[in-house]
Amino acid sequence: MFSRRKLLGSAGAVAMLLVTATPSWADKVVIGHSQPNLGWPYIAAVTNILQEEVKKHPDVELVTLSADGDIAKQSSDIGSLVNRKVNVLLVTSLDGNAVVPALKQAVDAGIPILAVSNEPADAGKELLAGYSGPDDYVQGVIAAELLHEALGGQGGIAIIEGSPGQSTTLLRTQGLNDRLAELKSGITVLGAQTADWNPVKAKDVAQAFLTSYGDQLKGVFAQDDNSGAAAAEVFKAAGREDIKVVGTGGTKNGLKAIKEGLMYGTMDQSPTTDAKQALDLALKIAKGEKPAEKRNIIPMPKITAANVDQFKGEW
Amino acid sequence: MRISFMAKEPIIVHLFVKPPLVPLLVAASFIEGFWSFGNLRTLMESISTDGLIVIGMTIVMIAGGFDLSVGAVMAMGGVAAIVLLPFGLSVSLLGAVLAGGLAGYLNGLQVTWLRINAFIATLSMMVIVRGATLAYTDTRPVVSLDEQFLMLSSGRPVPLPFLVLVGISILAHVALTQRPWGRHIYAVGAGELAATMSGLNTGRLKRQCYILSGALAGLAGVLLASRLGTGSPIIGEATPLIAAAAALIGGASLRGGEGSVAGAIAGLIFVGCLINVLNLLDMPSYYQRMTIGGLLLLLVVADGTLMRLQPR
Repeated sequence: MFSRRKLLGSAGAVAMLLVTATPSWADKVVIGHSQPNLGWPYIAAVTNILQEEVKKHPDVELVTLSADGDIAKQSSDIGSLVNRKVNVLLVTSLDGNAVVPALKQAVDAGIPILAVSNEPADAGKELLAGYSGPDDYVQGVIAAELLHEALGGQGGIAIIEGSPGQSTTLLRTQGLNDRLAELKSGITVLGAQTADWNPVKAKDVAQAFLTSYGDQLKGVFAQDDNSGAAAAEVFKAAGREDIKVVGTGGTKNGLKAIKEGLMYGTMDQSPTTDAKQALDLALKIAKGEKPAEKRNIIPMPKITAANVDQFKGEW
Repeated sequence: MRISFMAKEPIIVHLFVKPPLVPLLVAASFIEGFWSFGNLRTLMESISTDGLIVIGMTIVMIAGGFDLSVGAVMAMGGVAAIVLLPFGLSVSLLGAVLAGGLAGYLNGLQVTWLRINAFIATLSMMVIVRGATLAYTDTRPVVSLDEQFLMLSSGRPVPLPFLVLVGISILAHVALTQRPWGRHIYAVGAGELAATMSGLNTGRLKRQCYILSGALAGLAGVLLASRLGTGSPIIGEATPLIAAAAALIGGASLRGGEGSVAGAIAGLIFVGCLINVLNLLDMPSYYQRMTIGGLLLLLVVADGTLMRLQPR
């Protein structure tokens, strides 16, 4: 049993590797960013742009931690950033409620928080120095308006949702429902199914909608463009090009689908605008300034075939 | 049949070799902030809930099984705790633990009565429990900011969940090493037939292991929900894999009959510290995963090689 000491050699090698790089962050403005999952295209795009932008400020350092889709890890990540005494904490929450206790920790440590790209729940909002990013609820509202206009206020629609349980998913659905009610639209929501932000799954969901709702189905709200474009392909293959698909995000795939007439419309959510605005605000907060507005919503213009050429698709 | 299940490895093995915990901690000392109070607290918080699950997983693995359902059961436990909170804190705690234990019992029934392979049995339970939790909550997280409930995960300087982990580790260690029950579990895992021949009720012993694993996952869910103020139906997807990695790094084996609480805890602290250190060094998370995966492979292969080189 004791002959296994040879393993010590390999352990030593690991130890050597670990000590060679000791970070230094003295005298710099350190911005800590807790991201939900760098594997998601939008989140990755924002982080890439932030990193590019930070290079223009030699006295600023950006530390990004990815929770990899794990709510508990995000809470620990925020704890780590608080322990490192970052000057400003940026948080893009995976779950708007579950981050609240971690945000309290940051406030107790005197670290100002800027929520980026999505907002925490109400209990968390009062802890923030500010919010910068799109408004998921308004995206649902815009989708309702696009569908209302595309269908002339008549017919059944279905929703291809993002991952269940996420604030983004819940708010986009709620925004859609609320706005349809406000508009007194004749549109009825036949059903909703999750595609987990996954276009492959979205194709299955689209097929299932065709089977269950048949001719009743006149429109679809896809909570991300990639899923919307994938669903539109299924409808085209089934000879149901009359189904109006509205996506979310203004991605390359979404814009292409609109140009080709597959999708009716979407709304833009630019990671460049999102990242730049967040960095500007973060630097202000680091200097001790208060942002003029607490909620800083980036513009989310509607995109349809009429104006699609004005957008380039960033992600 | 291998005879190693009788041999208890001294704790020192788990500090230096399986896993190389002390060398890691020494290396970590060179990183600014590792030994800071705040960092240690974050570390303790993050390993406490996983720790309870690792203990359950280790016991099941010693008995020759595996439990893929722990992450889903943890999510169910957290949701159950918050849903039951209006009936009082003790009802909420007890309810979550019982619900977890029930899921574990069903796992045990599948494995022992229906003779389904442990991976398949607990995979099906994982999907059923996850689906039921999502259905019950309508995919929405349930939230509570009840002071008493949040207190469960507070405590200074040492967070309460960590004390719970220490207490349960000691209980499990004593049960496995000082009680006949522990010997029987090792015997079942090392060779079920031999264990049956020597008069052990192997089915009941296995079911007890699964019940323990489920109940501990339920408890972990309560503590996690308290830490987050939220019972999320989608939490813990990667938990069974992390728990298995920690147990394997700490000396448990898929062949059964091997492993110990001390090893599992050492494995857990090792993985927790490694992630923490890599975070402090700004290593992107995907490289962190690769590092942990590579290390798991390295340690398991080295263990197997050394085992073969040993004179029998």
